[in-house]
Amino acid sequence: MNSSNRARNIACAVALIVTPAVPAGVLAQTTSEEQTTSKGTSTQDGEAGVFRMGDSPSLRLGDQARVDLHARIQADVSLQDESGLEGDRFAWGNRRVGVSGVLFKRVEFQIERELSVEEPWRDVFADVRVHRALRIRAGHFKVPFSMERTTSAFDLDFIARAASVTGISPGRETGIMLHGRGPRRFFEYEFGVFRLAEPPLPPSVESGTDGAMLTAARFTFTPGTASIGIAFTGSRLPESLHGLSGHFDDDGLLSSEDFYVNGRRRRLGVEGRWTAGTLSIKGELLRQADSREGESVSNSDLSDLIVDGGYISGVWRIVGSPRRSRRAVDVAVRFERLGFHSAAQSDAPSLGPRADHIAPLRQDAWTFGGTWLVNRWVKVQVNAIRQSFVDETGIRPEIPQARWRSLMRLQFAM
Amino acid sequence: MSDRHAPSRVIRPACLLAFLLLLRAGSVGAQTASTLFDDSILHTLQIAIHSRDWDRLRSTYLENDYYPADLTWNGIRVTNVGVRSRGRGSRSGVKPGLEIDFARYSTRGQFLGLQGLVLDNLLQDKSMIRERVATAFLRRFGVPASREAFATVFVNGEYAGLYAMVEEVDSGFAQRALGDANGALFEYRWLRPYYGEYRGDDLDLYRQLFEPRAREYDSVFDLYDPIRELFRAINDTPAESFRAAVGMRLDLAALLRLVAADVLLGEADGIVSFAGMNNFYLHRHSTTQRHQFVPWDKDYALFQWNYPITDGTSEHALIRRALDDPELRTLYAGFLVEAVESATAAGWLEQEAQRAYEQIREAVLADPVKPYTNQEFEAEVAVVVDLARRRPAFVLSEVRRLFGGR
Repeated sequence: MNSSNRARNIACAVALIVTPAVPAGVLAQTTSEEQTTSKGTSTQDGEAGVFRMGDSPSLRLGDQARVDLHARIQADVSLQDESGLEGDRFAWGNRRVGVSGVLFKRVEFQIERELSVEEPWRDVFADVRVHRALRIRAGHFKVPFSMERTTSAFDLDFIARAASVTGISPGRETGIMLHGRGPRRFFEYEFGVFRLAEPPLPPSVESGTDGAMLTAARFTFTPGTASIGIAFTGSRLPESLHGLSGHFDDDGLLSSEDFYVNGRRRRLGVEGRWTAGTLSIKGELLRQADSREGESVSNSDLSDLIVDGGYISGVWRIVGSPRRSRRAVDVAVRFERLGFHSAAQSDAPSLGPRADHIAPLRQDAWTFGGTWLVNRWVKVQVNAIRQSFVDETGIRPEIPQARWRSLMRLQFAM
Repeated sequence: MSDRHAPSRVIRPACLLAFLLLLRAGSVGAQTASTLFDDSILHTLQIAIHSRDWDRLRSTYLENDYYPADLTWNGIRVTNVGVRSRGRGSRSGVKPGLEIDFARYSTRGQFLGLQGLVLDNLLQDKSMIRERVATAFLRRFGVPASREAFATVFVNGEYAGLYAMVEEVDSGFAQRALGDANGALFEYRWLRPYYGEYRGDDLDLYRQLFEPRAREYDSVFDLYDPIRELFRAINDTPAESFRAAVGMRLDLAALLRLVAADVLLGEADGIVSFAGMNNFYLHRHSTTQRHQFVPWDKDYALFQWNYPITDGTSEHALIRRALDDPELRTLYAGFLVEAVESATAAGWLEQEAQRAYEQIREAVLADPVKPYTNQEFEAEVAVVVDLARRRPAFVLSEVRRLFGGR
């Protein structure tokens, strides 16, 4: 991209995102009851009208139907990057349009589409409420695993999710899920069965395992201001070569390191959150074990390939209400770790794709961030990330140096 | 038995185990690269490689993709080595030539001090003994050359044929044979007939021909300027200062010794060949900055007992100019005579060919993937043995005719 195009893109993004902030500032003076899209009450056609303007435009048919229209856009600007990778300083983040709503008070639905060619459909599901403790969701939606993964990309404390979350958690799949909650949300559960549109990894041989099933379950307990949860998934895994992704290396933690996996993939996650006034702390530990059946040089089984990691983060609201607020300023810090190794560690460590003892590698990252909620629609985030690699065995020819990266995100979500 | 005996029940087996481990360590420790390349015995190599990888390696034998494997030799198992198909004209999907990289998946990877090992599939020589005998002669004659020994190779337990284990020309070789592991090392890449003429100032013209095998991360200028200046000196230096000017950039005596050995062996595809220079490495000493040629691939040696001893020399800029120098010409003639004497001392060359043949005969006859018949093998061995008998006398008579003297 040449410099004039880049400048034009940045200017367009700023205009797109900041312009709504001006009238939004006026709209933001409305009462605090205007909380969410489902509660928006800016009436354009009287109390009984069909169009209302809350956080997003909303169409209503009495109390039998409500349809909210959504448009969300993110633009990222790289402020500094020590990775040495040549790339555009400006990049579009998520750009989505969609509708959501409620029919007959019992059926919630959501249809959202990304304005990009690849994987355009995001959430497309219907959710039927049988009882507070029993709801049934069917369609294409996020697999219930990881607190941060199931948080919308537009509601994150940082610009990017922790690498362990993106590297280990599954994304959206097509399936059916039972979920519900107990009194006062003391507990919540989600249990789903999904049909994978594609194998978890690109198969290295013709396997005929497209459409493998994935089972997922998540339980969350919320005693008071704290919350803890546990989740797991299990799925079939065709023979594949598996590498890892990190903050800086989209093609892999170290793109040359891939290991054969075959058999089953199991994930386990634990999560916790604690809120006290303006301070919120949360963290997750995630683990993925891929079996390697028949993948040794002698066609016997190898020990599991383990990918594990986690993060802990803290957010301090220095301006604004501790609860959901339309105008606020947060500062946040996160430490995260993502690494891989094999279950067996008795042999000499190696980077061989069929090694029983895989030489462990991990990346640690600190993220320092600030978030400014300009109004109900506009958010500005700035993050500085320092990432480093640790090769305990020292058998790799070279390991990237620790490096800094900083970036800014402008977001408009309606 | 009372409890007071419990410690002895533990200690005795532990001592026995420790003793056995010491014995094992001692036997492994006694193995060296010299043992691996001991050409007095026929070795056995076991390769364990995933069946799908082996199929892929053979079906895509023109690619250089590495596959993980375990290698077992003499009771020592080396895990997670990299294996790939290798060779130029000898590439085969039926009996692939193999390159073993011990450091492919770990910077600490090595085997008996070696970073790599070549398994030559011997496809271009129906006798299968030419290269083994030729490199043995080179080393005997004082030319730094790879060590080599025969091995029967089993892949996943199945006999995959007779191979020659060849020492890689790398920094480890340079340390052992040339006393300098830190110098630059290049593999010559034959693109078209090149006789050592000056190709011009553009360093890319030399980079096309000389592929770095050590110090790969040095700048292009550091790598190739000395080579450009070597060939400039070879071609542009006046005759009276040729020896001094070229000699400071190239070990001329070592070059003439190597050419003399090649002449004795009837090498048709070496530094002096029918189609320009071929099959060599070029080493540049890290201290003296002098270059030295290292021979490679002797499949085309020992072919014709009366192969002309001057074939290719008149077209070869370096050899032609070197032999125009009276002192170097005399030196070269002496090397030729010395080569004849080395080959004929106690019938060495003929006996070596016979010994190599007897060592591999059974393995060759059982080789299920060799691309020629047993009769062709026997007939070609007879050619080599006959050459070993007749070639030295022919060379000596030609030396007397062309150079005079003894």
